Amino acid sequence: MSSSLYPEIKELIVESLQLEDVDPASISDTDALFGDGLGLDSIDALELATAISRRYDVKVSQDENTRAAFRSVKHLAEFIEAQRNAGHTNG
Amino acid sequence: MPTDAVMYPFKRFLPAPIYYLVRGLRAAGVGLCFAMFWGGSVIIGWLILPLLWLWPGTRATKLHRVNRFVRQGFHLFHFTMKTLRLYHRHTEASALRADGVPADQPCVVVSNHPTLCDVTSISSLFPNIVAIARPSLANNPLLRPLVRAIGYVPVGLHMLREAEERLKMGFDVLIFPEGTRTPLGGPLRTFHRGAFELAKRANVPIVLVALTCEPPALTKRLPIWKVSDRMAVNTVRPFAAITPGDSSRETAHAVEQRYRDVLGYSGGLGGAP
Repeated sequence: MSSSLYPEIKELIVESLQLEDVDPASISDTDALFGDGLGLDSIDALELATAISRRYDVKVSQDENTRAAFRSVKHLAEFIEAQRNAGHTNG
Repeated sequence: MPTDAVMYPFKRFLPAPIYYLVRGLRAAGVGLCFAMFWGGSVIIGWLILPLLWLWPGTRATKLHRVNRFVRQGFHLFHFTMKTLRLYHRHTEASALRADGVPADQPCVVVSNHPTLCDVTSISSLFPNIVAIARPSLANNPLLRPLVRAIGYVPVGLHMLREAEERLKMGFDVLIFPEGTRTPLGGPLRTFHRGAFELAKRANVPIVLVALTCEPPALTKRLPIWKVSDRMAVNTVRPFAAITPGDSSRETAHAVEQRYRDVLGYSGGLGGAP
């Protein structure tokens, strides 16, 4: 289940972006990470992408799929799961 | 919209047929310059640069060589626009680096973005400079070879790493923190922090450049064929050099405030209420 990844992803966000005043548990599963929601910006996106590709050993490329994946914690979890599964079947 | 008094001061003095003939010719002149720019970019990018790239040297040497070559093209483009009395890139600055930053110190250069020709205006002045390019330009099939070969960095995942590499090669890196052109009549858009994060990571100074174009030309929301009667003068003014702070968020905010003070609310774009 991808939802087991939620707390991990939230901690990764706070850790990698050094959001000292944000409690990981307070980040919503479904609210937007960028813009109105958590208010992350373009540079945060770059850092988060690097952190995620390192931690989960998934390939973060620059396309529409990835852009959609960075919408929320839920989307990220689904993206990571999908990438992992694709990796297992291929390898 | 700027008023007719700003854009078309000669309308009142000249008989309509003559006036509109001249105005039509000026609009055609702008068309000619842009045809020259695009035609030149395609020919140079697809035919000349690949040959130039064959010349031996390290990647950095090649980038510098190609960048220098293309800058001559920018000079020609601006020379033509000035000769046709359409657009003039003007500067009074004796040093492009304000506040005593040495000329050979690579810098991040930031600027507001009033006109379509700001990249060529600034690039033709600074001896070694690359810009951060919008993906729509960097991936445009016609422009792509040119944009990549002169070392411009496309916006994207690897932007910071690539830009840092350019600084290490001795290039300045030009970034418009607003991300796109400043709208006609202002206000300035919110500054993104990429430029300031880059300067912090690479530990280089940031040169602040103010651009003011009077009368307005080639501005967002102003149709390209609306060519004013007088030559548009885009003044390039490096007004300060700062060292990046620890928090790029705070630096971005402070610099944005500084631009508002320097340019006024309208962003120096004339015709604002």
